[in-house]
Amino acid sequence: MSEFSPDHDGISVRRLVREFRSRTGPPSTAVDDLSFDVRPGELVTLLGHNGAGKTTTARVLVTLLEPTSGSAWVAGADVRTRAREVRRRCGFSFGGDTGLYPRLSAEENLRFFATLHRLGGAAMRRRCATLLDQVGLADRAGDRVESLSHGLRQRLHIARSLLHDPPVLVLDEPSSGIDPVAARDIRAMLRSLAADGRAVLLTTHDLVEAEQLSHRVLVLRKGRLVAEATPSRLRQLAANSLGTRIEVEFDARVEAEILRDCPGLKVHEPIGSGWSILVSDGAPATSWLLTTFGSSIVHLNVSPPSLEDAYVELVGSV
Amino acid sequence: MAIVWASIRTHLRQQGLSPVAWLLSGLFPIALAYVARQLGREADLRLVAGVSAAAMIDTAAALVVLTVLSERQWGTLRTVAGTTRRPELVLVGRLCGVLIQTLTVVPVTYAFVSVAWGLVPVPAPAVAVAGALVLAAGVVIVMMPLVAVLVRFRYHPGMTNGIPAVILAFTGALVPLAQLPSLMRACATVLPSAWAIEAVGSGQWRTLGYGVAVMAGWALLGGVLLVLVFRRLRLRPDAFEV
Amino acid sequence: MADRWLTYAWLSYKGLYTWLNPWGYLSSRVVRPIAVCLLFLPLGGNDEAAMLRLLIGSTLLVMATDVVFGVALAVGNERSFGTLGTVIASPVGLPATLAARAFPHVVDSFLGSVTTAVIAAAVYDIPLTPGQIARGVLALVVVGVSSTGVGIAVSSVALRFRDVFLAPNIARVVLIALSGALVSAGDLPEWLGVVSGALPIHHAITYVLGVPDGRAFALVLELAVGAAWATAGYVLVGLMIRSGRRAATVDLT
Repeated sequence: MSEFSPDHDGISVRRLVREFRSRTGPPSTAVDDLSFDVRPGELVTLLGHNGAGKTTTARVLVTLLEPTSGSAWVAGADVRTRAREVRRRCGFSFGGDTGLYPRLSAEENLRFFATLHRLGGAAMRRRCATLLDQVGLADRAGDRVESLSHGLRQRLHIARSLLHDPPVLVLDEPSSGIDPVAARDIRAMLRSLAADGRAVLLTTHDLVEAEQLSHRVLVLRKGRLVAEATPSRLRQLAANSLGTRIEVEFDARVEAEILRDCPGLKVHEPIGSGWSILVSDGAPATSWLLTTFGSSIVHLNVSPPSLEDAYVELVGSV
Repeated sequence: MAIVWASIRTHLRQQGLSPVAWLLSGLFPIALAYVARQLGREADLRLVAGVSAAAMIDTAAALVVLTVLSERQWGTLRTVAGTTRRPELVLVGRLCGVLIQTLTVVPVTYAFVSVAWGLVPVPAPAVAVAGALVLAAGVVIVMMPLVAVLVRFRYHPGMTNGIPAVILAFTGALVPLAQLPSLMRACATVLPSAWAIEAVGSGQWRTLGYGVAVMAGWALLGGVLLVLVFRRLRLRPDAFEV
Repeated sequence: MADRWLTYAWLSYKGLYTWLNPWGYLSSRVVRPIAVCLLFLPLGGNDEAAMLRLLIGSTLLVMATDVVFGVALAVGNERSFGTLGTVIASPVGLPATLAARAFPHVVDSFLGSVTTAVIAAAVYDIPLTPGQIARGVLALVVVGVSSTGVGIAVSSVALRFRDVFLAPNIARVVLIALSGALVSAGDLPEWLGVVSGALPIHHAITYVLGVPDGRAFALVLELAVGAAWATAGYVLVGLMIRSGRRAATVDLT
């Protein structure tokens, strides 16, 4: 048993390992020596390929799986020894089309799960109505879940996870498989949940979602943490490695020889009436271009690597 | 025909080792034979046939429900419906697989009754063997309308719970048909399993022949229902949904 | 508290059971019990006492198996709807909710069993005295409670293994052969008689048909059997959830 004790009421994971036994071969390690924190008010994303260990980590945190070794605290309680406390203070959603009772209405589903959080009477009904309104399902409250679209079920999953107003939320791919408009609504909802002071852990392989929502991104590869940074810092790391692309057009012909003086130049190739150049650092190169060519520049476009570039650089092909 | 064979093979691979199937076809006939014997029934070939029929009906019903439910959950019927082959044939293959599974009940029951209360004589072995086959086939073919219901209605398991029990009660599994009330006796005449039990017990080919004729009627009814259900299913918005 | 308990009981019943349409209900809860009763009653032949015993025994058997299946399949259905993980990972948890889940089944099965007894008695023209009817009704309620204990124990298997139908079917077969519902416990070999005494129905049928002196005690014994099974069930459910968390089986569908 670790002597570590977290200094906050969010999520703390230390040297977490989860192995799965196999009938046919050696045990596989789904999560390998993973450590991270999610503090209250923070939204952190676990990013990784399928099978990277994101969902396993989420299942350990919500007490559905016991860790093989290492430790995890949720809302100040050890998931191994104080599971009940964790369940009381943590909301979770594993999304998807299952996990709800198809023959009950949206409201009945919420009422059922509310009783599991010891809510009852008028307070329960008010809470359910508020959450249905919050997730945009008020007008579908009486409809059976089986008649709801995938996107609406995802919203209902999130509403269910909020029934007991938990300070910690673990959301496994909350916008997976839904259309862009619905996904945007869900992202707005998630942003507000973290802004309310909750510690929110999100798992996804949607890079746009991770970039738009996360205070920090944890990149997993084969169960191991390969990077932990803010989205912009991740892009910066990738830029250092991959470089920044600058497209520049001039009102007159510029010879390739002149561009060789550009700081950090890696590659340059002609495009139209200008050049596409790859530099190790965008800022000094842009500054040099503006100083050297001034008003003869008619178009300048600086493209640092996207989070997707950073992710691919970190994770590679698995 | 190839699709039926393939369907039988895959059924046996998927459901052949199902613990529930082994339990129902192994333990259930033993329990029923024990109860019937303790309540005064002779340990004869009719008891073997009747108890086998009861266990077959129970096993076949459970397997049919499991099989169609699995096809729905896996979305495999939808996949077949999108090809040039008929999904009805897949289900017919599955029923043949169920038939093979239910046949194991007969030797289990015969062995148990013989070991527990002395070797059961078989005066007409050919009729007994043919009767066992008709019994199993009759039980499974009577399930064809059940399959049609399972395919047609999404919330089907509950709707089908009573049907095997009714077949079981009316088939004269544990007592000779003559001991049943007249209404139940009349209903038993449309069940091939009732004729097959009587044929095995009495050793009469003629009785077995009636069973085969009744079975043919059920096969026709079941086949027509399956075709109609699949034809109409394509008109429904929730067709082939889980 | 009562409001929450009843809300939970009703919504879990409504949400988990697929027979909640008129045809499904009629088929599962009315037709099937009657048919089961009609299967066993002819074994009594022309013996009035044997027919009475089989009527009472079959009715109690129907009650017990319906409750056991109802409670046990609750867990199985949670699996198929993908809700088992959510229920287990809630503060109340699964074990505390099992009794509430059983309640609608006891009520429901009671109504089905009474209907079964009335129809089967009419079909076979079996006379019942008012005393037998009153004791039969009380025995049904008590068997509902004692079978809940068995149902909880049986449901624990579905927490660890995905074959959710296996354990309830074993329980059904055991109840048919050994509970004393159909075959008098006195006719069983001695060691099976001991097993029979630990099963629901055994003491309840003694209460309905036994000599007046020992009746009250038989009813207490039936309740004690239920309590013992419920205790064992809760321990097993706890152990299976723990084991499922280790083996990663609790939220598999």
